[in-house]
Amino acid sequence: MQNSSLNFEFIEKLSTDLTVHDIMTNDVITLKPDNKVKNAKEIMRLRKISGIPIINNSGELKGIISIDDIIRGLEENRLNDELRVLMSTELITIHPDDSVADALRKFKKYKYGRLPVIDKDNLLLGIVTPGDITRKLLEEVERGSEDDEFFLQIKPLDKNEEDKDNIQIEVEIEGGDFNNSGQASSKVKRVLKELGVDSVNIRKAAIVTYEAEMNVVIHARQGRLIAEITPELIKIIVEDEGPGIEDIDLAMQPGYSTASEHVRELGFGAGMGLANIEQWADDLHLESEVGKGTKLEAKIYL
Amino acid sequence: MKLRDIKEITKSEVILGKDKLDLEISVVCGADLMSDVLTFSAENTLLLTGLTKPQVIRTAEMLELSAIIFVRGKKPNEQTVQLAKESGIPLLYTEKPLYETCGRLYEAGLKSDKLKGE
Repeated sequence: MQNSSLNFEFIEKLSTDLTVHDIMTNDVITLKPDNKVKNAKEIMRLRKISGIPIINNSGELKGIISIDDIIRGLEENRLNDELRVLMSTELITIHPDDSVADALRKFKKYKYGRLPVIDKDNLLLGIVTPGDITRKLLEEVERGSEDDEFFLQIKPLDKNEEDKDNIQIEVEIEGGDFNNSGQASSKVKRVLKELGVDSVNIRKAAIVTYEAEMNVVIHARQGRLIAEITPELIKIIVEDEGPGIEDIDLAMQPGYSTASEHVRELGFGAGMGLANIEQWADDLHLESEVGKGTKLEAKIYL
Repeated sequence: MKLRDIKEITKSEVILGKDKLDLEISVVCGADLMSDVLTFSAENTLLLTGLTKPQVIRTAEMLELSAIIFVRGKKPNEQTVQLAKESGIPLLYTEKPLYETCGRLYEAGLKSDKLKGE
């Protein structure tokens, strides 16, 4: 990109071309109206976020709880109250098809730190912050806008022109977030499809990433999934900050599990995860440190 | 065998995907344990399960399963249905238990896929 692309017209054109859908965060932490205020406070503290959308069982947006609401809750000693009594219900929202320029105007007008993205039925689709917009615009400026929109989420492994066939995807995984578990693997799968990887290898990679992602969701605080795709192989790295594995050989044994009853109700935690990964990956390497975390590296040769 | 015929044989009702009853099914997998399902890998697979959590849909999505029938009269919640809608996976349910549902289909000529390594 030339420096001239950094001019105001370029940014303006981008902000009208890009939609909220392009920049919003899909993996949103949400709570229900009958959750307690203290739960929201803890999540905000641990995740360092400043607001949480409140949805009902159908996924409809009912309110937002922000740091301001929490402060009010602390002052009035209402941490054990349900969120429904403290949450803000007069919401400024935005639709996925609205332009980034529309979002910018709303941020300027209402001075909110985030806008919930909803569809026509008031179902929560994601959230957008001014930071998302800045990040996206910077990305676009750096890379030019001629790329396929889909591939904007993906960065080439190497800036080197010759290595442009190599692609890396990185997706965060939230520990304990069972509602969204599988999303990271879904994203990787979509990219593999887009790249034209054959269906057998896509399925292998999907199973490996999904089982590994579930392990992070079940056992760890947080983690990330990195997939590197070259013409020869798919390399999947899943690393987490979590309890670690004391005895890797034992953990690899089919049927060995330390998962809770709740996890079992979801159809997981039967001690088949690592065994499954081993079955489908062509190469598997596990490293773990108790009390710190685990790193899994699996390869599928194309 | 078409999903339409399977619906009749298993006495199922359609929850989602009325327009997809012409799908061709060649393999059936019956399990409540998603990790067991994840050891399967075949085209045109139908899943029979008593588990109705969204994780079932995710699993189906990963394996590109063709359709799901919930057994024992269980119906999925809205979150599960919504996820299936996004993934385009047809959902059915039957009052019959898993064993009988499997048996009816096996008898009708749908043999299960062999587990890898068997």
